Amino acid sequence: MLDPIIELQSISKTFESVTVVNGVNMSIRAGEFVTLLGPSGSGKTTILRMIAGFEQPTAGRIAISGVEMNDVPAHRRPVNTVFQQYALFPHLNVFDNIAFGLRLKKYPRSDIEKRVKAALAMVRMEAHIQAKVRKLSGGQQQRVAIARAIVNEPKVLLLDEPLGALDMKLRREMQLELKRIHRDVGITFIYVTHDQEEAMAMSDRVAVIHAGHLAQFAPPEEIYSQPSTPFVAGFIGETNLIEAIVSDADADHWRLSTESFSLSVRKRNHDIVPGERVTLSVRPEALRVIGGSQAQEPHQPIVTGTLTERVFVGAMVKTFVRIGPETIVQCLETAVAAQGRRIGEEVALTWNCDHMVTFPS
Amino acid sequence: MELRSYGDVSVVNPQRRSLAERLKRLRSRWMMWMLLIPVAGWMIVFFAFPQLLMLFISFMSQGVYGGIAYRFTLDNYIQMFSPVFLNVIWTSVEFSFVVTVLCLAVAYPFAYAVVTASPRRRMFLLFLVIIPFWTSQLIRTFALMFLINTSGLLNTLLLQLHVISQPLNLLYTPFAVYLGQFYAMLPYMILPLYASLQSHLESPEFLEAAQDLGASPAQAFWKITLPLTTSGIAVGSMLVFIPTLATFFIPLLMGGGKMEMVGNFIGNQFLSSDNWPFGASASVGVIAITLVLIALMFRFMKNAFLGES
Repeated sequence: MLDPIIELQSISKTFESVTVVNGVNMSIRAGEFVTLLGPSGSGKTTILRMIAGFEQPTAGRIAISGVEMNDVPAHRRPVNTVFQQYALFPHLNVFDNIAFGLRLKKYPRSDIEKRVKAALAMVRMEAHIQAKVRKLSGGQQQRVAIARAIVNEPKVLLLDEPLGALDMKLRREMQLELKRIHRDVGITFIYVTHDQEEAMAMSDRVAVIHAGHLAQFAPPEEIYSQPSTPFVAGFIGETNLIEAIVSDADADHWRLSTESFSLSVRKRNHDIVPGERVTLSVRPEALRVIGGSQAQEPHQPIVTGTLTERVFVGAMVKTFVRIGPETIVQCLETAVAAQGRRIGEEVALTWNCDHMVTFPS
Repeated sequence: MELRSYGDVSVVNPQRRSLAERLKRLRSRWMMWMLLIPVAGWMIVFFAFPQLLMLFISFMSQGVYGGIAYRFTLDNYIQMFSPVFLNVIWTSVEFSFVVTVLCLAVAYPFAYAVVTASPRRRMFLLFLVIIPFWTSQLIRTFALMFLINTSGLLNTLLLQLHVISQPLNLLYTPFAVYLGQFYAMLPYMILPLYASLQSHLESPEFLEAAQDLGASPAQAFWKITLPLTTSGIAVGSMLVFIPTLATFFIPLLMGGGKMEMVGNFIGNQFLSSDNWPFGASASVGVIAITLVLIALMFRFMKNAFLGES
């Protein structure tokens, strides 16, 4: 791997006996767009604030470009932050807000003007250079906040749920804008969000944070197709989690039994033995609903059940099938394929086991 | 699906409100007037009417044996430009300015300490600020006099400790007047500053943003905290400056009449010189000065806060 720009070595943070971040290790490459994704309260913002220097880790080491940052105060760190509520200075206009950092660094006046204008051009806000920040809309304030941070040419830009306060349409627009800005300036972005779609759409790599732990740190496709824990599988996209028990094993297959069916899957690197409980994760779109007479692929499981509910989601239909007294799974089918099915009907489900993930419980 | 909700949208025609709505509006307006009457009545009887009376008297002449002669004149206003009166006004303005700056210099760090203290400590410190309000200003001024007079606590203590061999002559000096006024006004500066700093420091995002952009704690204070608490500074300064400009008994008691403020000057016109019309015109003059200063303050605040580069 190339030299990491940011290195977190088993950092932890405890607030008054509550551990918010617990032994997180991360290594972020220069120029990457990394998202810290997790539900609220998972500790993702605390990690960001520790990188920015607003919080000190209780344990562990933070390094930026190989330099240890633990004892460096926030104002001397080579990072800049875009805050959730923008935090634009209300007593300064757009120009003075953006020039704030440059003036502290004693840049010459003409240089400041040139850089501020370039930053405003980057976020397409040239027309508002003299505007009072209070007169700007949320989206415009957001752009000014980004310009105020990138004008300082930080090594790393930290973004704390920057789109959280915007409406859906503006969010989508700003997501694309941020990706463009990331490409244009070429600096490392660390982005905090609880919105998994946003994380998937924008990032080179996603770090899923769960209860203060780093659950998985991988590219979006890998997180989606090879989630490391049932939590990640459930948090990223929708999935069906089915409890099973390993009933038997041979050289390269496990025999798994659930309350309603059993199936044979190829062994993965997990170390599980017969008698152990496991959790299966199958994405709704991996499930195929078939008529009783339809041919099935060999080695693919087939499970029968009762159709309990159908929900239209545009071009697709979510079909809920009860396959056991305790188990209802959902399938995502095209509206065309789902045509004619009725609630209460008996159906059969099948799926390719390569698209299923097995977790030891 | 969601179509039903369109049925609930009633199109309000401002010309044709329902009777119930009109009654409701009428009722709320009536309620508003009812609530205003006690205060409005009080203000008319005890504020507006005396002020108008004073304005009226300020245009009348002094009677031969004192009192008011009901003859129109502008002499009282012309008299205000006499060097004696201008000197008194200048003394008062200068005094008020110095007292305001002293209060600000002491109150700002104090208020900052209160806001950043632990909740228990904060309650205690605020309590200290509030206690003086329980006792009359006059009594507190007498207490201060006893503290600093030649045989007072301070002098006795210093003599006993052999710091001084002669009692310090503190009372009946300009120093005593400054001290008395400063002491009386300090809480009025602390409280608005406390409120303003409290709301500023409660949301640390501006300070964090400043730090993030490379500001040291000191730079963040001068560039962010101070400008964002301008409103507290302005309110506190007005609450100190205006009463100080009209101060009356503190210079009288603690200055022993050596320092004549405009308040004492006006008092003398009514109480000893028996020149009510000039006293009235001088009062109008002080009100005018105060209004101009308030207007200037508001303008300053607006500029400072909305910031032009």
